[in-house]
Formats: sequence, C-alpha cells, structure tokens
Amino acid sequence: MKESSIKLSAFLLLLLTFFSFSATSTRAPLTEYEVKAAYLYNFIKFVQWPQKAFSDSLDPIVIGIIGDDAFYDILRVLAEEKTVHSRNLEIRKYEHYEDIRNCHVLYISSIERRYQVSILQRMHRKWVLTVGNVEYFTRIGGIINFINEKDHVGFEINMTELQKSGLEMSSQILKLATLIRK
Amino acid sequence: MIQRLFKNISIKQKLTAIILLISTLALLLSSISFMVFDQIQLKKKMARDLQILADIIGNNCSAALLFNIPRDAQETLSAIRAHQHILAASIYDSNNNLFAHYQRAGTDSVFLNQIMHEPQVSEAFLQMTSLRKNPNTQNSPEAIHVFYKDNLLLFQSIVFENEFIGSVYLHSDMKEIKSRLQGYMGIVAIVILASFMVIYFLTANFQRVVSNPILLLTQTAKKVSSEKDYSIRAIKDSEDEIGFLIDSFNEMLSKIEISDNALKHISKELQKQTEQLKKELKERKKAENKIKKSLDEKEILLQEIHHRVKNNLQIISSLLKLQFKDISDASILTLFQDCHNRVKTMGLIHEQLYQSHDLSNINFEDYVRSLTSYLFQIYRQKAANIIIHIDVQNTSFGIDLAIPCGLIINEVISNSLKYAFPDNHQGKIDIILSNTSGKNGKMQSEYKYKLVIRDNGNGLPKNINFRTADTLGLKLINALTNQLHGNITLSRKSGTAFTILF
Repeated sequence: MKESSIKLSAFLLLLLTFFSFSATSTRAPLTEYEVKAAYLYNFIKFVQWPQKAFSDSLDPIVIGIIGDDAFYDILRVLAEEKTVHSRNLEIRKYEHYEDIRNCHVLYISSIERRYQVSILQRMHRKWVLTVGNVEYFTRIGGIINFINEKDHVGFEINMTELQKSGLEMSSQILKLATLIRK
Repeated sequence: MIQRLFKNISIKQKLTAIILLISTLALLLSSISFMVFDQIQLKKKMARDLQILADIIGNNCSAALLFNIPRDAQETLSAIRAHQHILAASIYDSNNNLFAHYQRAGTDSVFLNQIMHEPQVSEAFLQMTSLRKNPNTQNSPEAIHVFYKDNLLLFQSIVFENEFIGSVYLHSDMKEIKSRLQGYMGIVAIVILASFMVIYFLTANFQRVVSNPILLLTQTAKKVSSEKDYSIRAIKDSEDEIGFLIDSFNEMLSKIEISDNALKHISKELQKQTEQLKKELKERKKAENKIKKSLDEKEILLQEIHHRVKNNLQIISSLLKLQFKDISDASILTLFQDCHNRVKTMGLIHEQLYQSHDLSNINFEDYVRSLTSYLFQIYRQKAANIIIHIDVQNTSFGIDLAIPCGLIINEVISNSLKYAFPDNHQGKIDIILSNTSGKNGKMQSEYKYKLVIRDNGNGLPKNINFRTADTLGLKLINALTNQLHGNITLSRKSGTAFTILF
C-alpha cells in the first residue's frame, strides 16, 4: 500500500517535470466573469440551431445580453475573433423587452426577479437559448443557469424548457450539467 | 559443407533431401513473408484502431475540457477498461497540462513514465503539439503513433469547432500481435511438419522415376564387374539422359564383349601355339641329342679312323723298315727310305689329328717340329752340323692342306739333308710359313699363305730344272703344289730356296 503510494507520487513528480518544459505558457487565474463568458461561448458550440433560425448561411449567431454590462464587454472581446458553426458572433445589449428580436442566445442577469419572469413569459422563446445567473432561473422558464460550486463554476439545464425551445444540445454538455425536469 | 554432406549418400537420398529441403524452405519463406505482411498490416490496423479510439475519447472529453471538468474526462477514460491492451491513457488540455489520467490496474507507473521519457516518444509528443500551432494543419485532427519496444504509443490532438482544445495519449501493448504471431508460428510449424510428411511420402514415390533407372544401372554395373560377364545388358525404359546413359553403357559393354572375346580367342590361339612350340622344342632337343650322340659317335669313329690310318701307316712304315735289312743295294735302300719317310710324314699327320681335339685341324708348328726332328733323326749322320730354324707362327691346318704341305716339306728337307751339305758341312735350314694377308687384314695377293723352305747348302745342280726334273721328289713337289692350287718358285742364290704361295 505504502509502496504503491510512493510509486504514484513518483509518477506525478515525473509528470510535473515532463510538463514543466512542455507547457507553452502560464496564465493568471480567470475572473468569475471571464469563466462564465467562456462557458457561454462553449455552450453555443454544443447547441445546434435549425437552419430556419437563420436567414442565410452568413447570418451571425446573435447573443443578446440584458442587464450585465461587464459580461457584455468581455463577450465582445471574445466574439471579435471567434466563429462558431462557421458563423460569426454578434453581441447585442438589450435595455428593454421590446428590443429583444432575432437573437439566438439571451443572457439575463442582474435584474429583478419579476422582470426576468415577465421577459421569459412574454418573449418568443422558440430557438432561443436562455442563460441565467440566479438560482431560480431554470424554475421560471430559463434553460441554462450558472451555479457556483465550491471550487468551480457549474451549471444546470432545464430539459423541459430545452425541448420546448426546439434546440438540440450535445449529450456531452448534458453529461456535465445538473439536469432539471419541471 | 553441404556438398561434402551430399557427396557420400545415395542418389535416392540426395533427391529426397533436396526436394524436402527446397519445399520446406519455400514453405518457410512464404510463411515468413505472409507473417511479416500480416504483422505489418496488423500494426497498421492497430494504429488505426487506436486512433479511432483516441478520436472517440477526444470527442467525449471535449466538453469536459472546454468546461474544465476533469472528473468527467476521468469517467470517460475509465471506460477504457474494456480495452484490455491499453495500459495507460492521458488527456492534456490546450496548454499541455495533464487533465485526466487512466492507468490499467497492475501496470507499473515507473515503466509507463520511462516510456514517455524515451526520446522517440517525447519527440513525437512535441512534434504533435507543434503541428497544431501550424494554421494549415489545425483543421484536421492530428495523430502521431510510435512503435517502441512492443509498445504502441499514440498522441492525438482534440479539435472542437476548429479549435485545438487538448490531446489524448494512449499507450497500448502489442500482446495481441504477439499472441497472433505465436499462433501463426504454431500453425506454420504444424503446416510445415504436415507438408514435410506429405512431401516425404510423395518424394519417396516420385523420386523412383529418377533414381530407379540409376539404381538399376548401378546394379547392372556391379553385376558386370563382379561376374565379369559382358553379355549382360541394362534395360532402358526412358528416353531421357539416363536412357542415353544406359544406351552408352550397353554400347560400351558390347564393345568390351567383342574385344574380350577377341582377347580370349587370341589367348587360346597363343596357348595352342605355345604348346606346339613346346612340343617342337622337345622334338628339336630330342633331335639335337640324337645329332649330338651321332656326332659323338662320328667323332669317336673319326678318331678311330685316324688312329687306324695312323696304325696302318705305322704298319706300312714298319714293313718297309723290316725290308731295310734285306736290301744291300744302296739306291734301292734310299728308295725304301724315301718311301718310309713319306708314309711316316702322313702317319704323323694322322697321329696329330686323332690327338687334336677337333679331329680336323692340326697345329702345324707342332707337326713341322715333329717331322723335322724325325727327319734329322733319320739323317743324323749327315745332319750333325745343320741348324734348323722353324718359324710357323702357330698356324692350324686341315688335313687337305697339312698333307701336301707336310709332304712338300718332307721332300725338300730330305733333299737338303741328303745332298746340300756333303761331308758334314755346317749349314742352316729355314722353314718359314707366313700369312700373306697384311696387318690390316687386306689381301696383298691372291694367295693366303707363303711357305719358304731354304738352305745355304750347295744348291741344286745347275742342269736341273725343278719343274721338268725326272726325280720323284721334285715331281711330287710340283704335283703337291698343284694340289694346293699354289705357285712355286726356286731361288738358287746362296743355296736353295723354294717359295710356295698357296
């Protein structure tokens, strides 16, 4: 038992030495916003929109943001150089419910619960991936919600809402999420 | 080495050995090439299968990588347990940091790590990580595999939505290939053994086509040489080189047979001839003996005859001597004495003849000495002061020469003793017989001998021509010279000298 633990530590040590020279760069730890922005971006990669959700093949994927200015700034930087499913990303900031049109992803954050409920109830939710950042978000009709776990950021998915939206999501991401059925 | 090994075994064994060797070799060669080909194919397949597995793992882990959830990647890797040959698997993130690791239970970590640090392996890893930085290759998932000491190592990049998000490392053993190789080896061994037996069985039957005629030929040759019977013929049953050999062998045999028969015939003939010769030799010896016997008999007879002739002449001479007493007339006594001398002269020859060893020749010198001493004895009163010199050089004469010569000498010497030296005068008589042939053996004249009889006495009376004289003595000398086919000359210088060439 003791011997095997020594072996394991020796192995790990060796691995560390191996990667100490193979690692290309080291980064400063990411902020919570940055992690979530990256998650959002990654969600898009695992979601399939039907052809009808776009007017043509050059149509960008529109990411709408309500409420969180910091998030908007980070995503804009991210979206500048990236494409997903061969489409560019377009980040839009919505101030009012009336502004929400033709978006594929909608991030709702930092606004009062009642506004959130009214937006989700009143908007056209077909082919729109809704992402939130409050614990009740999936219960009020949102599809994905970030949850802060003790050492990393996790997320939950409301499967019923997902099916209603008509979007297809990769099983890989479902595997990582906490699944909720209303 | 092989040639020496093959040298002393029979053709049958040679054929079997060669066929077995070649077919086994061919089989072995084809089996090996098949195995090598199979191994290569298998390795390729293995690398491909491993790549597919790495692809699946990469796909299943892409979300975990993107959302940085190692636990999930770990779970995915755990599913590898089903693949018995994979010893270890790792997932690295886009910065080449270890993200998840799997290790088959019971696998030595130090060993795995050693392999990872082999220059070949780490080089492959670096190569792959550098490849994904290259924009041209970024779109396609890159995989690099390394075969290292019965291990297959594979690095596969994980690309999701055209983005490099990490890499998969798989370490597989090659037990499958090894066990398959062992299986093949077993099959090859069995196949070779089985075909060895089949080929041996077939060869044992088929090699007879080649070896049997040779064996038969060998047996025939042995039989011929042991029995010395050249009428035996080898039986030919094919039209190939061996058939030709058999034909040549038979032809040779028939030639030998012919010459053998001829030899036998000659030897028989020779034996016959030898026997005949032997017989002839025997007969000849017999005849020779007979001849010798008769020769001996004749010799004895001849000796006897000479003896008897001599005895008879002796008797005649004695009878004449007996008459001497009764004769008072001196002239008649002289006649008797001359007659007696002549008989004695002939008798001396016969005496010498039967004493001589060959009965046909006498030593003339001995004879002349006997004759002169006899004559000097007879005329001792007159010859007291006469010296005789004889030079006859050891000549041998036959009876046909000896008798005339003797008689001539008798007549001349008697004459000299009687008349040449009256009153006991001193004198000298020479009898010289010489060979007229020169030193070189060349004939100097037509005559072979020269007889000179001379004295330094009074000489013949001047009125006497010795050729026509009436005296018996001179008549005899002439007659005897004629008998010798000779030529006589007389010289009257200082006495008398008769020279007779014959």
